[in-house]
Amino acid sequence: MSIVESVAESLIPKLGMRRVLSMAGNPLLESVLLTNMTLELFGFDKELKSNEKLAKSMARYLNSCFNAKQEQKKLAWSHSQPLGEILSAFEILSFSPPVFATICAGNGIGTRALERAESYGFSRDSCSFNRHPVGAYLLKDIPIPDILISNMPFSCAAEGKCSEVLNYFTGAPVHHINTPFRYNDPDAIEFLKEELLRLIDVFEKFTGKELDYEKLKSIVKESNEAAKYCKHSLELRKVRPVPISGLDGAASIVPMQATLKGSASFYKERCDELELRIKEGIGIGGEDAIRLMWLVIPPAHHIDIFKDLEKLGAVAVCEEVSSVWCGMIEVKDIIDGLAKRYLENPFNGNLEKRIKHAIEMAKEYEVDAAIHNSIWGCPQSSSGAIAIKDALKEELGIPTLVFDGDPIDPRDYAQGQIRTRIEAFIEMLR
Amino acid sequence: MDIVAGVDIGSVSTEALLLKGDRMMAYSIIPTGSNSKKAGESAMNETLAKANMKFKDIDYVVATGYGRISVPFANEKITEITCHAKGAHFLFPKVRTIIDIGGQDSKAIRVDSSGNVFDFAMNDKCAAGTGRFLEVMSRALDIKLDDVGKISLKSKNPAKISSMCTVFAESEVVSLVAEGTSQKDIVSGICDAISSRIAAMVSRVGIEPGLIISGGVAKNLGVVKALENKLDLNATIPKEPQIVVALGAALLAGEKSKGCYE
Repeated sequence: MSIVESVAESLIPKLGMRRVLSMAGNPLLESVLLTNMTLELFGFDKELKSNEKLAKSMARYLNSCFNAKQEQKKLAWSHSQPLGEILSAFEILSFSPPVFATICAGNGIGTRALERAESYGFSRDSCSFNRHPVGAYLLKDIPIPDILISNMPFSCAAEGKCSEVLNYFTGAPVHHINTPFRYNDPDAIEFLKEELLRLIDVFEKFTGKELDYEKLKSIVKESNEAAKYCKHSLELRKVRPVPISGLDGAASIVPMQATLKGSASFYKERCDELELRIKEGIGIGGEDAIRLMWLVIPPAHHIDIFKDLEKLGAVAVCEEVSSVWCGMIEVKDIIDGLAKRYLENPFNGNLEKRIKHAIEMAKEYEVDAAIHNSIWGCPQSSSGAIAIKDALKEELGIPTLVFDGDPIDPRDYAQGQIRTRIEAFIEMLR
Repeated sequence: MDIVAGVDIGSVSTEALLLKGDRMMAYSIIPTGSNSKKAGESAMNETLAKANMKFKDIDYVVATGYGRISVPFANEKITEITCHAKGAHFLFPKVRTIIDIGGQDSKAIRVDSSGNVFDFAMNDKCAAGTGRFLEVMSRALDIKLDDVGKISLKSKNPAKISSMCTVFAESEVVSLVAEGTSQKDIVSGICDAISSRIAAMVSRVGIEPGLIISGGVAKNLGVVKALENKLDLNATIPKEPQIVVALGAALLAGEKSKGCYE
């Protein structure tokens, strides 16, 4: 274990995320400790300079969320990306509790927030992503929200109810965006546009400022630029051998999902690095490596699972979670464009849409097999597992390994059992 | 002809088996206990003693099971799923579906006509539906584990065990005893509860005739009968259901050993 890694392992649990992240902004601490710590803890590829940028910008961003009050900024908890541009136009910091929970789990401190929520009566069988913010709030180790935005059903039908619970604990007002489930219904876009305009009204009252449409337009253009490079960086993983590990590939979606400012330059740098690797023939596992598609969220607490796969001669070349956040927004009519991107996201809608997306991705990335990590207590992820497995087998003849395990709660993840399944699955594919 | 060995270290028992070509020379089954490494060595030594051989006589060893990483003398480690398919296909070439009910997990494995795995599923989250569950319940009822099967077959009215959790199910069993429910009906209810969980797991990979049930729990006729009823299929039980995985490991060791000298 390196010095940085051992410092990280003892420092984060001792101080909590808030105090560790306060190192961001201090040039020495930031570059020497914080950035290296993140790279070491997650096991990111240090040869990729863009990873350093990713670690630094995430730390700075989270630190600014923790310091929102002192910097006199408003902060919104919003579970998913589609509202990021509107929030930015109002200069409201957009904070994603699920992304934060994943980072905490990766840093080995996810469990204590979950346990805190459980001590308050939250069932251990309920969704960990909904338990985590409550526990972290009670532990005072999460940025304090000024407003809560729930997008439902979108990727999670329970989000609305959970936001109401969070409202009880945090006292922050909650605003619900109702996303039409029937994404291809002709009235869906008009309905969602109304919802977005209603949200803008709420933000205008909340901030006391009118929406500057020109500003929104420029943010949307910036977001499109980031989406373009992000999509390209993912598509470069179609090449054999794949130029980047599954871990680095999956993690690279975080800036896009969190609508981080300056994401375009990160993704551009990532593309340049990957193109250079392709040119030089550098890749993971060679041309004959087994190519895998990861469905649902990988386990942040055992993120070395990607490295274990690579040791077995298999590499994740695409993931469901990283593939859904690169939608572009038409700028001619921005509200219309935002609504369309919102509706077209593969996470929004029925199982048929999710299956179609998985099949398309499997074809495009020429995968040999898929892994479906169903989340306990999550109807969205677990109820579609066998339907997706059957469809991939029927349409493309590729097998899928399905197992249950929580992405942020290591207590609900049977490492030994899952390792056996993965090894057996790879043996089966050979 | 090469002499090869398979060592299967499970959570409850450890098996070692020696093969010369296709002929089984000896095997042994011992409790794993708290030290997997020691269990692997002891099982191997016991098997060698039975065959009147020394370790240096073995050409290749494949370790499998949860403790496969604790076998320093193994040439290779292969999962019990692949080994199981190999062993079952060797014993019963017409096998297409394997149900393995072991100490801490249960598995459903689908194999093709050549004995290759093409799908599998395992139990999740808890030990209900495994040998450990039966062990806890037999202790709660103060009966021998080996007697569970025959006692359950006497029941005409199995009790309902609804809890999915081993510990809660134990409390349920204690309550049934207190209510005066007969021992045979409780035992039969336990076998029913296990078989329901396993039948649901098997359905995830699909069932095809050519079913074998192996693992320690296959020795329990109560569970086997309940499972056959639920799946509406007759199952074949290997003569010694606990050594199928070790046999598969030894067969794979034989293939690898040949490869070594090519």
